[in-house]
Amino acid sequence: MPKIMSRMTPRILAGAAALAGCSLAAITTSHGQSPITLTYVSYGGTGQDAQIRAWQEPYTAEYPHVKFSNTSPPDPSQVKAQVMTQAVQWNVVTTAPYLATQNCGTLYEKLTIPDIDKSQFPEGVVGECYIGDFRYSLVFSYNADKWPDPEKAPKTIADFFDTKKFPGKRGIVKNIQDGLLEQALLADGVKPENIYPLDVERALKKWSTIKGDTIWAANPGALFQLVTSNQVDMQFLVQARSQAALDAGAKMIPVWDVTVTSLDGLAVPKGSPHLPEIQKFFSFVLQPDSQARMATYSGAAPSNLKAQPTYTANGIKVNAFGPANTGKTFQIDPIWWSANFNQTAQRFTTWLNE
Amino acid sequence: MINSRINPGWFLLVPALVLLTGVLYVPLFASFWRSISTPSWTFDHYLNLLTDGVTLKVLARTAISASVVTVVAFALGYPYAYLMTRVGPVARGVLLTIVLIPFWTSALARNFGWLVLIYRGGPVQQLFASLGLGDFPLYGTATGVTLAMSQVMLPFMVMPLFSALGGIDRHLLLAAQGLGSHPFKAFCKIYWPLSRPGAVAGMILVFTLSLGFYVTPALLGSPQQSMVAQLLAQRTTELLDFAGAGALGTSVLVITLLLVVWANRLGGSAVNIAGAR
Repeated sequence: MPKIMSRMTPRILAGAAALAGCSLAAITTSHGQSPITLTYVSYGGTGQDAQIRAWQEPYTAEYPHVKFSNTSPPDPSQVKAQVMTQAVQWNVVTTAPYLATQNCGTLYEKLTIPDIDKSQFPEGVVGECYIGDFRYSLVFSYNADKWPDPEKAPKTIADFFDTKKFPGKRGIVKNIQDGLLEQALLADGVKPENIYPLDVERALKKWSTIKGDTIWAANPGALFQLVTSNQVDMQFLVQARSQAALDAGAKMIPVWDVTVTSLDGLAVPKGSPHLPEIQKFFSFVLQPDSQARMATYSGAAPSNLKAQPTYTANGIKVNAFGPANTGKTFQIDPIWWSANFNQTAQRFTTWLNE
Repeated sequence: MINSRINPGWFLLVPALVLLTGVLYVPLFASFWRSISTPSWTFDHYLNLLTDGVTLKVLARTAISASVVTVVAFALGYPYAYLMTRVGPVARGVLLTIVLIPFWTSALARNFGWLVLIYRGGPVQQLFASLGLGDFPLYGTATGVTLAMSQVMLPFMVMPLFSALGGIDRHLLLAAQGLGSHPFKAFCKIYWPLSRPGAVAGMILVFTLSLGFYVTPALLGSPQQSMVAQLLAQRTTELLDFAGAGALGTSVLVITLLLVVWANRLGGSAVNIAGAR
């Protein structure tokens, strides 16, 4: 640094640092709040809108120097490409916990989250390379127009796989990490404690019984469109999108037998700038009031057990973690998935194309 | 200093070559290199393609679909291009515009148009029901994808065909008929061989594009009837297997190049027949 800098007042120092660009931001935060923009990547639509309202806007209100730029979708191959070329532009990415665990330290930064009370969270929410920003479930629901009589309507998970008694189209997103194999095993009578390690062949055999009647959607948004345009009669749709479908007027009735639940995660690509600020943001996201806001806006369930969300009427109807769920829940195991995702995904693709 | 034997016109190629090399050839080569050198020098990624039980099936399905698209586009495009050579300039302009309009609309918009048409309960399904064809689903099937792709690929067939057919001297046909030939025989022996290079060019273009097409299979198809592009996307975005994806991509490229060379040889023989022109 030129000798003349040592004679400048701190104000001019901060101003010069702000002008020098964001690469100096880490060095100058002690002098002043130089503005940074965090690129936040999620799945778009109502889910991301809820994240913006619940987390990004309040955070920027409290720390005005931090702004967010939103984009979608959170394609992990783009994360890999950015890390490989050491040109990381995404700062916060929605990432499945199993994927963050599988690539911890190689594709995703190891995290140390300040100011959180770990006792407020169920196990697995604060991971080595991710935080669980909300819990979600795959809600099993059916089209009330097709089966208007509750006595004759589907009641158990096995009914989804029974096209003789309940003919019609089935809809599910083809993300195996959301639990479609676990669901098949539960419907086949496997006890929850015996689900892992997964008997993939048995699950695929169960799915084979309804393969021809199943529409495999590419993502929850696509399934949401199928549901609202009555292309499917029974579906497993994520909680938040189920609430959105009810809000859009779809005539869906949830079936509470065993509902598979998962954890949604946020991770930081390795080599991303502003890691300390991001960790501070993650801490903000995990606080009970942030969690409550997110749950209220989106219909997903908070990962912080102390959060008290106020759900809308439709949100209450599809909340698998709330009083509407008269059945049981089953939590996906991200550890098993982080070890077995690749070969299971390949087996599933082969089976799907048979 | 300048070698007088090098035509200075070649230098006009340099900007395009530089752009192509930087944007296309270097990444293609990098992708190929990655597929044989990750994690170390190996051909395992290619061998895996042969043994994983799904790649060959999907390749076959894609090739069949691309062939059907090519044949349908040819069957629709040849008469259309022929008509374009026979009408006056105004009508020709209209026909040209009709065929080019799909070019001017976004591919995504066109595919969503097809989506709205072939949805379960949509207009096409209602038509089938009223004709008594029962439940013949198009959305989420390879049939629906092939149908939509035939429409999308039609301009690529009509344009080369039109330029080839437009260059055929009609007096040759008149001469043949004047010598006593039946019009249909004149068509088979004179018009068709002369139009073959254009036909082959159009078919190669449509087949190559259909083989690698992603948008239509992804939007209108289903993962159950994946095409090669969907498989490649899955390998890249879900399995993060860049090397395997590179192997798949390189294989498809090599197969396509071989097919193009073979088709050129078939179509090129027409040049000898047309040599008399």
